[in-house]
Amino acid sequence: MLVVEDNPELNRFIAETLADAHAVDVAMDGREGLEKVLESPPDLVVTDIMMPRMSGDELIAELRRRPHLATVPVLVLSAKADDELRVRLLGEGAQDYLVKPFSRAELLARAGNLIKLKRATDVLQAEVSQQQQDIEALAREVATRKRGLAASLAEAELARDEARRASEAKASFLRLVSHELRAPLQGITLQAELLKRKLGDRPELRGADRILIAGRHMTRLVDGLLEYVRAEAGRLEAQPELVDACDLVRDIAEELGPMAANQGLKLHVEAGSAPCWSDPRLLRLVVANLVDNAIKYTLDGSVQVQVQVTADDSELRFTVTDTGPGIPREHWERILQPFEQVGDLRHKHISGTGLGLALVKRALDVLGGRLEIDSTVGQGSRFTAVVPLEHERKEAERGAHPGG
Amino acid sequence: MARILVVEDDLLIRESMVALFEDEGHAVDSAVDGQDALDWLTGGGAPDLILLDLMMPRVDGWEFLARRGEFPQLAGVPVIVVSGGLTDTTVPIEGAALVLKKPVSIDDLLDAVAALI
Repeated sequence: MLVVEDNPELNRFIAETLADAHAVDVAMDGREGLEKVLESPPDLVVTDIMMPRMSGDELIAELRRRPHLATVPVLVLSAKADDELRVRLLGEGAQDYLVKPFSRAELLARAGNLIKLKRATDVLQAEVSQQQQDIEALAREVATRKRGLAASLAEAELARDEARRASEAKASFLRLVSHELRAPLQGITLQAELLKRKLGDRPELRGADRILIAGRHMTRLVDGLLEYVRAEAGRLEAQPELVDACDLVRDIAEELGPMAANQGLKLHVEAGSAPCWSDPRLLRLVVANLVDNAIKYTLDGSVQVQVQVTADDSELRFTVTDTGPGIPREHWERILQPFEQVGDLRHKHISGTGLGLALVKRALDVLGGRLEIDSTVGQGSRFTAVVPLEHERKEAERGAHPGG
Repeated sequence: MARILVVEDDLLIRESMVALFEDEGHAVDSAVDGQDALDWLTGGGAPDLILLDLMMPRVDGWEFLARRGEFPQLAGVPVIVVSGGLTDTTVPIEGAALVLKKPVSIDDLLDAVAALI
């Protein structure tokens, strides 16, 4: 604390009294007092009023003019006759006063109280300003997070729009490619058919038949390729309905019969009646590709197609067995890959894009089914497509076919 | 005997269809794209049935179907869409009585026309 008193004896008296409990500095007038306060703000200023160079009230005014000294309490030493003055000073920035003459005890008490108050104020002040800093920091953090979120949102929206555009681009590309491949096929097959109609069944017109067979083959290739691209683009979805799996297999056998006959193969179908709830497009894809493959790879003998529903009605099983060259076990994984073909021993080119089994696998994935391969080199192969059936639907269709 | 309008931008397909239906004894008009077809209708053309391609320049099949209401003579006239660009022909198209996927055989074409005339 700082004692500002021009009377040397009084100054000493006060300083010595306070020195017991506090660190005390002294000044002989207001100016010196101000200098010392500015140099090192004390916890308390004890000041006389009447002093040379700068009076006590001038000192107080100087102190209160400086915001950083706002919490430094001032204890005024006042003469009895200074009633009005000390009351005024209380209003202008002094916290307490002592009327001369005063005792050591009173001096110590009042000084002690003011110090305690100041310390408490300082602690509170520090606390508040710390909290203010914390709040500001928090506010900045929130602002940063908000900006971060806004940026992420904008990015996510961009990504979503990109994905949508890409998906639409893929879809329109598929439409375009499909159209570009099918249009010439249409022109070719129409003309060939017109030729046949106009000129009858003359042997010279076998060419027209061949054009049509090639056209149909080409159409199947295009269909397969487009289906594969669609499957890869994630556009293949199961659309189940009531379908008789056996009728479906018989249709396929009828369609591929001529192809088998052309190669001197027998095509057997073992199927009764199997109404079930599944996607006929996907089932057709699976069975047609398996039968087509079997016929392609079998040089002589037969291809057999079996349709079974398991005893507990949980699975539909299509089994295609051929008397072809067989597939070595180490190739079983490979042949399911797109564009993979295992040529036969004489390296004869097997027509097709090599996508058939990859497509079968895709379609079975969508149906929740699986493909089982069994094959012996030199004897033949058996491919079994297993498709799980939805039980609730089965109940529904069993109701529609009593005794079925 | 009916008046058939073939709307198809592919030369070979268009000529084949015209030849086919003329052989069958129908009166056939043709348009090279949707715009050509609209112009023909504006000029007073009145078909009993329309064979419509979808992917064509200037005015495509979709737009043609959307604008068929502008022509009172088209009320009740069946439109058979024959398209190469559709992946799923089981999805109905507004304004079309039937959707066929290219390449379609002559038998299927004739059956479709016979069923709708």
